[in-house]
Amino acid sequence: MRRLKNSTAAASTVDTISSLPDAILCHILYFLTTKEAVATSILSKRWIHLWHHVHNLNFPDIKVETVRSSVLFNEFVYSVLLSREIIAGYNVMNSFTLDIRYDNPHLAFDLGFPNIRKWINVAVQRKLEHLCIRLDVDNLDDNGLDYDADYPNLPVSIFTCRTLVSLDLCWFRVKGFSFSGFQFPSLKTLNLKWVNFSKVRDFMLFIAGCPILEDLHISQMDFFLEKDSLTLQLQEFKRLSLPKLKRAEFVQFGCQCFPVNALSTVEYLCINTLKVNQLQRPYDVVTIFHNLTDLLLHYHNRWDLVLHQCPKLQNLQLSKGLCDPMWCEKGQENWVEPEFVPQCLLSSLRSCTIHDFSDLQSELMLEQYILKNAIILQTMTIWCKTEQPEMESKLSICPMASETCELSLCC
Amino acid sequence: MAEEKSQASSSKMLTLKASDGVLFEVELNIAKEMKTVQAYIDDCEDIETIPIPNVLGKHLAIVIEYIKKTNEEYDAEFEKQWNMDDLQLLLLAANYLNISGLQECLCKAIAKRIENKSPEYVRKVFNIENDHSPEEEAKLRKEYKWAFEGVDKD
Repeated sequence: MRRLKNSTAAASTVDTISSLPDAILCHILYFLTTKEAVATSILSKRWIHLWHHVHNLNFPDIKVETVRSSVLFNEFVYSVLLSREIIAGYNVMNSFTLDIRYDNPHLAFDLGFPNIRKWINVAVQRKLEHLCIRLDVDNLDDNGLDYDADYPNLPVSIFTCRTLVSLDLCWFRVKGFSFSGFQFPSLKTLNLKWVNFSKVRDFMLFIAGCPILEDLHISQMDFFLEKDSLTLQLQEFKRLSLPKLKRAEFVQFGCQCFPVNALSTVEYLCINTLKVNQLQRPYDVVTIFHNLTDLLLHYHNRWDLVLHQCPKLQNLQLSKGLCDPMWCEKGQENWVEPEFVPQCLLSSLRSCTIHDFSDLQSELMLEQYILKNAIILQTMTIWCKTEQPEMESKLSICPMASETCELSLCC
Repeated sequence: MAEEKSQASSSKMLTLKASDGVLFEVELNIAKEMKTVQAYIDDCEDIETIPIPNVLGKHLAIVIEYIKKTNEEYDAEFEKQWNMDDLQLLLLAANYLNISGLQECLCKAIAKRIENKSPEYVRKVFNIENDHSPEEEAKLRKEYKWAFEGVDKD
């Protein structure tokens, strides 16, 4: 049996919310999903039309499993768009979020995507600032042959939307748009996953067209470049500059012509990808990362150089991820002791975490070097898959520059 | 992002008088975050005590504290301390005083407390009286069918 809430203050029986102006109530509805916002129409007469004046579409978690649910959902979105335009005369949309998963390709490609494209085309004409469209389709392999099953086409109208402040896309193909002269003058946050650009040059021009970018995440994107075009691309984009960039994260990203110096202003950098050498060219351009305090890097074979490039580094994480032993050994060089101790070890490095430790000699030497020289190091944490008693003993007798350093070995 | 509230740059103090008579002495640059108060100051430069007729002392204190401390961390924890009644009254205050950052924070907080709840629950929480006729309600439910599928009864 439900206990009635007993409140002491008389105020709790008063309908305070209704004394708030419409604009405030709409502001509250803005933070709900569109489904929840529309449902408020039955709260009372006051609330019937309020959701019409909420200028976003917010569908953060949609699963379409049957034809019926696909049809119902599509109808719902169209009636929301229509009601807002006709009843409220609304032609502004501040934010459009759609994270949708289809149970099979037929639902996705035949019933879903053609409509999603239409909604995007409408949204970008309405001074859109935030766009997040994430697509997912299950059971793709079963029917792969019937569909152009790699990626739906992204409506290129997106690239004409100059009001965008944040863009988040997952699982699209980009083609049929000329990126020369392209600009997203207001874009601060960019998150791309499984987005296939037909030409790597298009991708580079796209990035170059985002001058005030602050947050960049790229994952699962691979560009294969022919040798001839590589030199050209490198030249063309050598001076790419992202002066406001604060955070950059690359996961499974292979792009040989992406200039590392474009990342020089970041405070947080994560490069977690097998093809790390493809992201960083050999050090013909030495970039100093003046603001970098947090670095997560897939295993690198020239740590001595990396440490020198990050004079203010505070937190370092090293991982191997899906490192295939053959590749590891190939990239394996003897540990090169730096000529002089990198600045970050002397003045800023506080924590160091090593993931997937193996018994490679050069790794051990890197760890010992850090322990011996990092003056203000607080923690050194090493994760290994199996017990490594020999390594353990070697590290525990290693002299430590920092008196307060805590060494942890975890399995 | 909160501005630096240093004593040295603007030591001029102002008094704000809440609806229940409670007085608050605040620095000028704090008071200026309340655009309503700013407008008051712009109109009468020499004013020393500004009446805030719509806000209780208890809530004005919270609002002033918010202005002084606001940042990402503070905002994330801020809303957890207040019950629904206080949240609504604070929102009324933030709206009257025209403090956009606080208003946004409170709207988000209230939304969070009613997300994925049934209309019955939301009515109870806000003390809203349902003045729809059963036919009207049924019509709305039918028109936007998808919106009413699978919601917590709570």
